[in-house]
Formats: sequence, structure tokens, C-alpha cells
Amino acid sequence: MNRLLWVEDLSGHIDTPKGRLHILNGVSFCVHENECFGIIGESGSGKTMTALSVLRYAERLGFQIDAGAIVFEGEDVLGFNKRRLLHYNGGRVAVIPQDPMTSLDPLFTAESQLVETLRTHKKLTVKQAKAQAYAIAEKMRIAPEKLKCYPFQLSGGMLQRIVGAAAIACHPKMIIADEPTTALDVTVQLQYLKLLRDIQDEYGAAIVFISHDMHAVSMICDRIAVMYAGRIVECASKNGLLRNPRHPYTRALIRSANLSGEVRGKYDTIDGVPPDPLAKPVGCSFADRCPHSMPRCFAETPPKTTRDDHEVCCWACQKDESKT
Amino acid sequence: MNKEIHALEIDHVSKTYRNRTLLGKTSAVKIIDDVSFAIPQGKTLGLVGESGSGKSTVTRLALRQEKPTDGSVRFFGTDIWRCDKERVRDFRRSVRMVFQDPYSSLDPRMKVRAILSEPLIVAGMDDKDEIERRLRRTMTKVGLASDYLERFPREFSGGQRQRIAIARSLILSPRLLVLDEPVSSLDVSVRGRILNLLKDYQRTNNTAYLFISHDMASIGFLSDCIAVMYFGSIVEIGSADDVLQNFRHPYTEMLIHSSVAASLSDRDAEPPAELPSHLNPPAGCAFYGRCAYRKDVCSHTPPRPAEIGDGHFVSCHFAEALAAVRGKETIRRDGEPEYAL
Ligand SMILES: Nc1ncnc2c1ncn2[C@@H]1O[C@H](COP(=O)(O)OP(=O)(O)OP(=O)(O)O)[C@@H](O)[C@H]1O
Ligand SMILES: Nc1ncnc2c1ncn2[C@@H]1O[C@H](COP(=O)(O)OP(=O)(O)OP(=O)(O)O)[C@@H](O)[C@H]1O
Ligand SMILES: [Mg+2]
Ligand SMILES: [Mg+2]
Repeated sequence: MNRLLWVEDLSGHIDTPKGRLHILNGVSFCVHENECFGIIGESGSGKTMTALSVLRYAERLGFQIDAGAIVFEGEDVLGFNKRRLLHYNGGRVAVIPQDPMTSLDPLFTAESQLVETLRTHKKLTVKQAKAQAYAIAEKMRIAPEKLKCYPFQLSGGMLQRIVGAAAIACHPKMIIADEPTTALDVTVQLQYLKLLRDIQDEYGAAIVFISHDMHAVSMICDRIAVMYAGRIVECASKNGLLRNPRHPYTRALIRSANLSGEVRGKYDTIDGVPPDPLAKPVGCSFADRCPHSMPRCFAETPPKTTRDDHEVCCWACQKDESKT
Repeated sequence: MNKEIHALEIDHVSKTYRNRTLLGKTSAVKIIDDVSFAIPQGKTLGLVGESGSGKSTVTRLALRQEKPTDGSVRFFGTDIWRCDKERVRDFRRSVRMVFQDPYSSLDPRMKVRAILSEPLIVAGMDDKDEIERRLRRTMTKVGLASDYLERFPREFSGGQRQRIAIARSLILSPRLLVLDEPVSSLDVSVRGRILNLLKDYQRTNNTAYLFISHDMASIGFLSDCIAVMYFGSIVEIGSADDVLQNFRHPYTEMLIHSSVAASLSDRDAEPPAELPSHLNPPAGCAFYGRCAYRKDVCSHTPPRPAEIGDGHFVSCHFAEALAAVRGKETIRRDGEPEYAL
């Protein structure tokens, strides 16, 4: 399979009056053409920041890249000039942002915003664009009359779907969906995920699906990466990761996801808190919450090891392997 | 009559929005249609329902942000639209809200410290050390480091912002807390922590919760009662056990069955949905287009709520028949999760 996006050892920080926040600490992954790649991880682990870096939005938030490379279709994204960037963003790569209101204008109806987006990126007449807007809204299960509404007249889930429709409508090569289903009930969520997959089949788009929802990720993703404190700690095929998780954090995550359904009584959680981004990371950042940590984990950052396309960064896993 | 004290009573409430269209015509859309429920003090009502069914609108009505077109809303027995100013002020002090959207609900110009201490100062607390202690304790409870107090809302990730909103709502012990999808932007581990926190908090403070979520596991965890909404009406309501294990409405069934890791290909079997429209509301049951058990009568006669068990109401012509079809089937509690598509 061809590599579409390739992110290598991406590190970056934000400077604040309190000091330097180390937000990404060596993120590496690649996304193949036509695949659905999932990124899951704890709140604040840097998923959104990774997505924004790939889109070159992050710099506007004061995020500075210290090291690393981002390559899209063989081109160096970090080296793009303004004109190339315009073509790249929204055209070749589209985003469904975590906060729908960042990409919607409160003063215009949903319909006019969809039509506007369609016309900027594709050469369409107003009439054609309208027809397409209604067609895609129907697939998203949004009633036609809702397109005539202003954002404040729409429910949270409708806003989320309108933003999704706008991103999908232009047939980009890659769609980055940042928690696109958080406001949807399960039945609508299923339809939404199915629509994403249909688009993938039909137009051959790759999808980067960011979520903390194990159910959603396990439904549409081919490969899944697990992020913790600004690093990807494990990456494997869906079944490899869910059936045979190796990193202790992934295992804890799957346990607390309670994939089999019903919970009552007490919720399973992972003890402890993620590290403070103010401190420069030394060693494995999960070490002080990890039941298997050894002295080495606190001193040296574990490198990535690969076996059968299953990548993991963990000293304990390495030790287990050398035994067998 | 019931001897329990009700923190919140929503009594036959309806809400119609009138909007002027571009051509100067007005259109009226009935978004909430005759909704009733009550939440006893110290208890939780879980509200679930399809996206756009009117859950957030119900919270706006419950919080006195919008006036119902019909019906009344009572807070500890007082009608919040027919009472004096003093009572309204008292109501405002005693209720708190966590909004669905953590982005727009925090003032971007205020640091977290100011956001959290404001309610304490407004309530008349002036001991600096005590305020500081309260802030730090609350931050730890929601799993955030206390030096985050010096940051602005935009410097946080989505889930961190949501936790600040939750911290703000808990810092002054409210008597009623309305939570609109408070955990949907949180990863499972943090979600568990927040749900445990909410449960403990309720036990010690006797706060009533109106809890909205589409995650059936969180709903089951926190709720004493569950109401299921579809297209502006409550289609099923009852104790948590009744609704989760002895559900009778086809939509509830759909929600519960798809909340277990279901395969996408199975879902293809769902009948192609006809969307009900607010401008042209369906004559019969609003769920008709998606219902697997529908009969002729459903297309022209709207079902009325019928009590099928103690406090368990269902609006479906075939609630009884459905129970027979399904037999003893309940939510799956164990078994290997299946991920294959
Ligand atoms: N503008 C900013 N200034 C300072 N710190 C920031 C800024 N934006 C994000 N951060 C910090 O960067 C870290 C990573 O944030 P990011 O939004 O990528 O998290 P996330 O993995 O998407 O989490 P969530 O699941 O909660 O959305 C967090 O600790 C956050 O507090
Ligand atoms: N001011 C308004 N004018 C007209 N229609 C409105 C207005 N506010 C909300 N609506 C409509 O009311 C319906 C219910 O919206 P509401 O936000 O209550 O849904 P919800 O159940 O919270 O959905 P979600 O789960 O997606 O957040 C939607 O169809 C919405 O378009
Ligand atoms: Mg995020
Ligand atoms: Mg809502």
C-alpha cells in the first residue's frame, strides 16, 4: 500500500508565562492511501495538536515545532508556502474539528455555508452546489428544513454533522475527523460512521479518526495508534491492538473501555494523572502509573520496537520478548 | 400522592418556536410536545434520545432560560415563572449547569482561577485561604493539576475544558445540577473518574441531577430514573431497571442494542429512515419510519402513554405485544466483545 501521510518524530512546544509546555514528544506514524487510521488516547495527550500540526493550523496557536517531518504525498508539508498551503488545506486534506463552532459562522444558514464551501473547492454553479448540499445532508440524516436554520437553531449533534458534511463534500484525499461523534446518539453515530466508510470506498479517501471512544474506533478503523503524553506508545492493526494489546497503558484503556457493555456500581479508572507538560519528559511518561515499571523506565525513553507490524514503545514489553 | 420532595417537576410542558423566514413569513415549529417528569431531591433522572429530539431544549426550559409555551416548571414546589423576584434569585443560586459545548461555555478572557472563584465570591466568601483551598481541592477532584489555574480556557484540550466546566458547577453546592452530555468529550478513564465523582458528590450533598447523555453505560451508572425522548416527546419513562432491562419502546430497544459493540453490516438491516419534519409533523407515531414492528394503525394514530408497570410509561400501540416477541431478552451483561465487521 502507498504511504499518503508520513509523520516522523514530530516534537513541539508552546511557550507560556509559566514556562515551556512540551506538548508533542516525538510522534511518528504513517497513514496509507484508502485506509482508516485511528488515534485514541487520554484527554490532553496531544491528539488535536497532532492533527492541527498536520494541517499547519497549530502554529497559529503559538505551537512551535522543534524537530520532525510531515510528508504528504511525497511533499514536505512544513516547507509549503502560502499558496501551496491554500490548496492543501480544505482541498487535499479536510478536517472535521472537535468544536463545530470554530468552522461555522453564526450569521449564515447551514445551507449557505455548505454551498459556499462546495463552491470554493469545486467548480460548481449555485444550483449544483445546492443539490449536492441537500444530497449529503440527507445521507447524514439531517432533515432538509434544518439546512435553512442558523447555527443557534440547531442541536449539538446537527452542528457536528453539518461540519462533517462540509468536510466530506469536497472529496479530499484525506479527512481528519477530530472526535466527530461525541454529540451523536448511537443510532445516528452508526450511520455517520458508515457514511465515512462509504466515502472512503467510493472516493478512495484516507481517514484519520481521532476519538476516545473505543467502540467507534473499533468499528471503522483498520489500524489504531494509542497516544500518551505527546507520544504514540503503541500502533497496530485493529485486531492486533484490541485482541493483543501490549503496552500497559493500552491494556488499562481497553479494560476501562468496558467493551462488553453494561456497568453499574463503580467505574474502572486508571489511577494517577498524566505528567505535567511543563516538565521535560525523561524516561517513559507512563512509568509512575504503570504496574510493571522498572528502574530503567524512569531513566531512559523506551525506543520503538516492531514485531509483525505491531509497534510498541515499552521496556517491559521488550524484556518479555527477549525471554520468549 | 407521593411524599417525596421533588427538586424539579416538568409538568405537561410544550415549546413552540416562531421564526421569521427571509420572506417575512413566520413559521411555528413545535419542538417539545407535552413533556412531563419529576426528579426527587438527591436523585438522578437520565434523559436519552436521538440527536435533535429536544434534550437541550428541555434543559433550557428547566433552567428558566426559556419560557414554556404551555405547562409549568416547578422547583421544590414553586412555579418558577409564577413567583416573586426573591424566589427567582433563590432559584438561580441553587441550580447549576454543565453545557454540551465546553468551548463556548467558558469566558475566554478569564483565567481558570477567576472562573472558579467567581461563584464563591458572589456567594459572599471572602477568606482568601479558604477560597484557595477550595479551588485546589476541586481541581484535584476533576483530575487537573493546580497550576492549570493560571491558564486561559483556550489553552486546554476539549476534555480538560469540560472538566473545568464541571468543577465550576460543583464548587458551590447546588440543589439541582443539569448536565448536558458532560462526559461525551472525555476518554473512558477520565469519564469514569468524573462519573464516580458525581455519584459521591450526590450522596454527600443530596443534589438532584438532570443528566443527559447518549452513552447508555453512563446513564445506567448514574440514573435512578430514565426518560427516552424521540422527536420532542417522551416515548418511555420509568425506573432505571425497568427501562434498561424491561424496555418496551422500539426506539429504546434500538438504543440499547446498538450501544453494545454492534457490527456495521448488521445495521444495514435497519429500514431506510424517513425523517420526521417539524414543518409537517407526522400524523401518527413519529418513530413509524424506522420501526421494525410498525402496523397500519401507527401511521395515522399517535400512541398515548400507557402505564405498563409501576411508574413505567410507554407510548407505543404495541408495548404489550413487543414484550411477548422479545421474551426474556435483556441487555447483554457479559461475553466476548466482537470487533470484526
Ligand atoms: N493554546 C494552547 N496553549 C497552551 N497549551 C495548550 C494549548 N492548546 C493545547 N494545549 C495543551 O496541549 C496538550 C494537548 O492538547 P490537545 O488539545 O492536543 O489534547 P487532546 O489529546 O486533543 O485532548 P482531548 O481528548 O481532551 O481533546 C494539553 O495538555 C493542553 O492543555
Ligand atoms: N431557536 C430555535 N428555533 C428553531 N428551532 C430550534 C431552536 N432551538 C432548537 N431548535 C430545534 O429544536 C430541536 C431540538 O434541539 P435540541 O438542541 O434540544 O436537541 P438535542 O436533543 O439536545 O440534540 P443533540 O443530542 O443533537 O444535542 C432541533 O430540531 C433544533 O433544530
Ligand atoms: Mg482534542
Ligand atoms: Mg443537545
